[in-house]
Amino acid sequence: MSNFFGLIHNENIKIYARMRTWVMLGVLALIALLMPVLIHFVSEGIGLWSAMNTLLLFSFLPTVFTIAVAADSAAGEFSRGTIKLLLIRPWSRSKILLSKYISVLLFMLAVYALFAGLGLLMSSLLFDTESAANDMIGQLTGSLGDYFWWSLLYRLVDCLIYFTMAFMFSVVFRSNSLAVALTIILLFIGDLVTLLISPERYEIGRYLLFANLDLSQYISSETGNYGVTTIGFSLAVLAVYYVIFLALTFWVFRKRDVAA
Amino acid sequence: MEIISDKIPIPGGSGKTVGEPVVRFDNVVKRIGRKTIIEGLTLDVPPGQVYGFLGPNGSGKTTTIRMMTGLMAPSAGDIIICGHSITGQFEQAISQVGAIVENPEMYGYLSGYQNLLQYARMRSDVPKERIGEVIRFTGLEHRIHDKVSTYSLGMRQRLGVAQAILHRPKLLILDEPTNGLDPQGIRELRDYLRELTRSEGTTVFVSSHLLSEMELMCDTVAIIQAGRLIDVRELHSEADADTTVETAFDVDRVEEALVLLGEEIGIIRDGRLVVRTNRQGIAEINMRLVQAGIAVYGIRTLTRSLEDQFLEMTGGGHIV
Ligand SMILES: Nc1ncnc2c1ncn2[C@@H]1O[C@H](COP(=O)(O)OP(=O)(O)OP(=O)(O)O)[C@@H](O)[C@H]1O
Ligand SMILES: [Mg+2]
Repeated sequence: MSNFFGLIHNENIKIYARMRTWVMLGVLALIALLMPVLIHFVSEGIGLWSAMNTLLLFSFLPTVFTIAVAADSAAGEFSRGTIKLLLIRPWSRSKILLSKYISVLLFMLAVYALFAGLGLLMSSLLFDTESAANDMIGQLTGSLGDYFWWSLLYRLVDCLIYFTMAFMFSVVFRSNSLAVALTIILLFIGDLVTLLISPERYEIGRYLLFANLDLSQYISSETGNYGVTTIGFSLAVLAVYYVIFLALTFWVFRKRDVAA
Repeated sequence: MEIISDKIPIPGGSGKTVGEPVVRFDNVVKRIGRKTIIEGLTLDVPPGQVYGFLGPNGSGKTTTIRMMTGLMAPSAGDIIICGHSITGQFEQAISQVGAIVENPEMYGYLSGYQNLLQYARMRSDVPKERIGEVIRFTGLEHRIHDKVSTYSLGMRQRLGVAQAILHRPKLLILDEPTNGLDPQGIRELRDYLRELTRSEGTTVFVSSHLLSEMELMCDTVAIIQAGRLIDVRELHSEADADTTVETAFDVDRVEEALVLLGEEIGIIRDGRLVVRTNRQGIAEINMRLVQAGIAVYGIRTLTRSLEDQFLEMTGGGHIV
C-alpha cells in the first residue's frame, strides 16, 4: 500500500487545482491588504493592534471560504461521480474520508494564515506598534496584541466547528449547495434559537451549540454573553458536538451505498 | 424460454481453464427499498477468461458491478474476489481489481495525466513508466496534458480504461466499456482484452447489452434478466473444422444450383441456397458452383447469433 500522505496530497491537489479556490484566495488577499489602508484613512491615531482587531471583523470570510471547500469535499465527488473511482482503491472509506477532512483542515489554516499574515504585513507598514491615543479600550486584562491573538485562535475554533458541520452535511446529503445552505441557515436559526431558549433562563439553553460558539465572548467576560457559562464549559460542549458530528459523518460515509 | 430457479447454481466453469474462480458470487441478493434488484446470484468466474455479463437495460448489471467493487453492500450473500470477501476483506479484495463502473467520470479540472497520477498515488505498485505505457496504449498521448473537461466521450472512456489497467489488476471489471468508443477504439479494446488474458492471465469481467459485441470478445457469457441469472454459455470464437453450420450461398441461378448439388443437400430460403455443411464442404460446393458456370456473389454462415438467442430468451428485449 502506498502511504497516507499520498491521499492527503491528492486531496490538496483537488482543492488547489481549481480556479474557484484561487478566486477565494485572491479576494481574501485583497481584503487583508486593502482593509488596513482603509482603516488608516478613516481612523486617525490608532495603533497596529487596534487596526488588526478591526480587520478581524472580516474573519467571517476565511470561515465562509473554508465552509465552501468543506461542503464540496465529499459532495463534489458524489455530484461529479468521481466517488466511484475514488472508493475502488485499496483504502478503507474511513481513511479516504480522513484524508479529505485533513485537507480541509489544512485549507482552513492556510486561509487564516494568509488573511492574518497579509493583514499584519500591511498594517505594520501603516501603523505604529506602540499603543496610540484612540486605541480601543475594553475591559481587557492583557494588551491589544494579546486580544488579537486570542480572538484569532477563538475564531479558528469556531471555524473548525462550522466546517466540520458543513463537512458532515456534505457527506450526509451529498449535495454541495445543500451543505453550504444548511450550515449558513443553521448559523441564523442557531442565534434565533439561543434567543428563544435563552441560557440565562433555561438550563438546557446552555447546551445549545450556538450558545457556546463564538468563544471570543469570554475575552471580555469570564461568564460569557449569558453570564452562566465559562470557557471550560463551552469548550467541553463544543468538544461533544464535534465528536458527534465527526462520528456521524464517518459512520454514514462508511455505511451508505454509492449509487451515484 | 427457460428460467432456471435461483436455487440451482449455474456452473460458470469452462473446460478450457482450471483453477480457483477469480470471482465467486455466493447467493448474492440486493434489495433497495422494497425492490429486489438482484435475486440470489450464484456464479463462478473462472480465471483467464473474458467473461461477459449480458442483460437488457435495467437487468442489474451495474448493480452487480457496484457490489463487486464494494460500492454497494449486498443485502445477503457475499462476493469473493481472489479468495477475499469484498465485504469482510475489502482492501485485499479490491487491490486485485481495476474497474470502470458505468461512465468513467474524472476530475474535469485536472488533466488526463493528473487524473492518472491521482490513482497512481493511491497504490505503491505503479511506477511512472507504467503511466506512460497505459497512455500510449489508450492512444491519449497527444491530449493527456489537456484538461479532462475538454475531452470527448470516447476520450474519457479511454482514460477510464487507462485508470482501470494502471496497476495490472488480476481482475478487470468493465461496465459497458465500448460505450462511446469509435469502431477503431472498440477493436483495439477487444484485441487488448484478449491479449491481456493471454499474456498476463488477467480475468476480464465485462458487462454489455451489445450482444454482437459480446460474441466477438467473450469466452463465456452469463445472461441476466430482471436480476436473475438465466443462462451461462460458452462461446467458441474460432470456427471448428468439423462443426457443421448453415451456410447461405448468394448465387445468380439459385434453382439450377440446387439441382446441380442435389435436392436433398440444401434448401432455398430468401432467394439464397442454404446448405448445412462444414468448412471443407463450403469450399467444395463453391468450387462445383463455379465450375458449372454459376456466379457466386457471396457466402455467409448463418449461425444463429447469440443476439437472436438472447432476444428469444429475454422475451424481445423489453426493459424490465
Ligand atoms: N439506487 C437505486 N434505487 C432504486 N432502484 C435502483 C437503484 N439503482 C438501480 N436501481 C434499479 O435496479 C435495476 C437495475 O439497475 P442497473 O443499473 O443495475 O441496470 P443495468 O443492467 O446496469 O442497466 P443498463 O443496461 O441500462 O445500464 C433497475 O430496475 C433500476 O431501476
Ligand atoms: Mg448499467
